[in-house]
Amino acid sequence: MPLGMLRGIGGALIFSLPILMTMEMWQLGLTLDWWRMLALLLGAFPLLVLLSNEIGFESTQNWSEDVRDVLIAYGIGILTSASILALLAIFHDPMTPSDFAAKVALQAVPGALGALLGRSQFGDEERNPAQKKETFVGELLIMAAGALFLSLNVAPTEEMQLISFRMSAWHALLLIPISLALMHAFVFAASFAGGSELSPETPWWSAFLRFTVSGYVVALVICFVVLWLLGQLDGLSLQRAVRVVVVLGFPAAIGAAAARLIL
Amino acid sequence: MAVKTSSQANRPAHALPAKDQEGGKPHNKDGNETQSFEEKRLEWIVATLSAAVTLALAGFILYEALTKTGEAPDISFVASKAVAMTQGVVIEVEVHNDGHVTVADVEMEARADFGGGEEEIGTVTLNYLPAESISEIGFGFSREVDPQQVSFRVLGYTYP
Repeated sequence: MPLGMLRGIGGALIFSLPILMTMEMWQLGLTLDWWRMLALLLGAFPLLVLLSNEIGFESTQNWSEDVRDVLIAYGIGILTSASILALLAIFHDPMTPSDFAAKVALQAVPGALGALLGRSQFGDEERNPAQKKETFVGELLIMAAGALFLSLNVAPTEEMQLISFRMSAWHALLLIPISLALMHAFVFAASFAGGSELSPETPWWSAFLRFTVSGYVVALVICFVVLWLLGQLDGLSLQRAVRVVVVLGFPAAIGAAAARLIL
Repeated sequence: MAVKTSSQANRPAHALPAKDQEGGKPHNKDGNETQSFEEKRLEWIVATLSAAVTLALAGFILYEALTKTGEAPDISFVASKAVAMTQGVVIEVEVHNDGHVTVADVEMEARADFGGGEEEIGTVTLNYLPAESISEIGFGFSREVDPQQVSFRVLGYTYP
């Protein structure tokens, strides 16, 4: 098996194992509207293609190669998810085609995301990111990937709603600046090895507005879409839905900020 | 997840270490590589819109904090329709919580009056009934009943 495929499988395992072992995801596979599942599968596709162009399996020359890589990533994600779900006896006995398809389809996106990023996680000597021109949109894409990863891990769990129910509006209000501050510190002040640093001349508010606030809103949008697609906002008023998005936005913001260091 | 790659040290982020600015690509006073006017403009447009969205979000929650200070749930029922099953019938009901407080383990009872003193009771327990929300549930009965002839009440709840 090619080394790239093994890296992809490794990435798919790392990214999707927590979700594969989350009970709510198995239940969602059976209860979620088919059109939401289809929207998740199709909606993630262009994001993954853009991500592949930015940091994928390999240095691609054109968009058709990115589409090919994402298709391979989906294949790896589906095969890995199906194997692990079968190994853990998650499928009903006897297993029906609809049970199998629904549970695997829901896991395909995190698996594909993991497979796609597996290469950058496990190292690829042939790829030299320094040769690629970094763009603002590319930075936002990387942050979206980080937010998607962490939000997909916790969005289906009951705890997201429970936390938002327990929190008062004041708690939610406080969570916004704390998410922003942690996000900002994570990338710009912590000076993690390999991370970005600011030049002394850069005004803090400039970097804060351009990267942290923009990244936070990207994370919130990802959270809203993921929660809505997974049916976690159904029946909630706008006020309650906003609060759940802010709660999920906390880990998603950290994921977005960390992605700029890790990916 | 935090697996580092050797290539990260080479990654040209938007804001580079000062030592990297001495050679190679030109940089502006913000420590960034010289960007095209379009890209800079895009950065600031996105930043401005994002700041507006974040402030609006915070303002929305602040408004809620200042105005929605009720401390009790307000639960009511709206029967929507009867759904015939192979065995019996289910009365589908919307449960509204118009209060500002979320409640948990909400036990509810539906009592169907068939006339002549004959009645049946169905019960449902909801894990959560969020504040200002609507949940759809169903009460099962052994035979057909007019939804208008069913009365509902809350048996109890806890706070999450």
